[in-house]
Amino acid sequence: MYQDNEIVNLLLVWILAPVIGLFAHRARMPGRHLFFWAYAAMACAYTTTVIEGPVLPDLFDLLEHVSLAVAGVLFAIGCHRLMSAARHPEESR
Amino acid sequence: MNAVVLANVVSTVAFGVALGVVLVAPSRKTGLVSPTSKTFLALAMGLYLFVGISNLLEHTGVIAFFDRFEDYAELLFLPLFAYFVHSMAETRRFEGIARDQRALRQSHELTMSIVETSPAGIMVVDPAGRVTFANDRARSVLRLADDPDSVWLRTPGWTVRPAGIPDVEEHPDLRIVASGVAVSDVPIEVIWPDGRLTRLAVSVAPLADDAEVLGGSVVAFLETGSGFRE
Repeated sequence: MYQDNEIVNLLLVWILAPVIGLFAHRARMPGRHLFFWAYAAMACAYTTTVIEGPVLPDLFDLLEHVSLAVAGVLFAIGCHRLMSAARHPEESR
Repeated sequence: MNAVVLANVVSTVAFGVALGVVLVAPSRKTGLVSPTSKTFLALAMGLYLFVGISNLLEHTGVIAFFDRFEDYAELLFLPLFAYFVHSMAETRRFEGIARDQRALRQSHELTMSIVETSPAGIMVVDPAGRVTFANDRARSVLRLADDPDSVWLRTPGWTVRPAGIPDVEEHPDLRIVASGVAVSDVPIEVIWPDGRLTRLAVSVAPLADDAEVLGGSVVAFLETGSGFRE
């Protein structure tokens, strides 16, 4: 079965998604598409965590961890791109 | 090694790299990523590095102790990441404001240079005809001086009247050009206390605010002659 804190996390990740998207758009962050897909992978992980309780636990557990791995890789590339742009602001404009 | 463990290894390494990239980047108070943004991003990445390590230890059968803290880390990640993005947006907004202020200052300095070097007298006159600003040429021709007790410039006591109209009323200020009507090269006479007379050709552009209320006028003039009162 699912746990209450997993439901809270799931609600938060979807409620904050448009807010984060709006601020990311305003910030015109370099690599924001990477951060967007990383956040989407994270939301996928939070969702599969809830689903794995009642439905196909092994499959959705695997999906959860794969989603986290994908999110991590995308965050790493996104952070690298953002920090490179911060070091060389002229190239990022 | 099963697929979940492999995914945990990739996740741990990736979030570790992300945290490292953020931490080794130099901190600058001005620039794209402020120290505040950097701190929030580093904390968010650090939390998921912890989640990755905890998952790895749990799924390799080493220890499941840290599993109980994972939920807190996952919950904290979201607001920290949201703060990071918000902080980036604020940094960008302040950057835009600072850029606009620089452009405005440069534009003001350019305008003031043009006004101060102009051979024509240039003044700003309020709706009552009192002078609130005058360039060097206007100050010199009309002998205007700063008044420490008011926002208006002090006149030496001259009066002003339209030129070429007999028996017209004279005013101790410039109200005849501050009526809110744009005019060009209108002749007026400035009569000095000692009877001398200076002729000016005056052009006026009214200043209206957003509500179309007259806020004064810009008055530019050239000296066209001099003489004595008849």
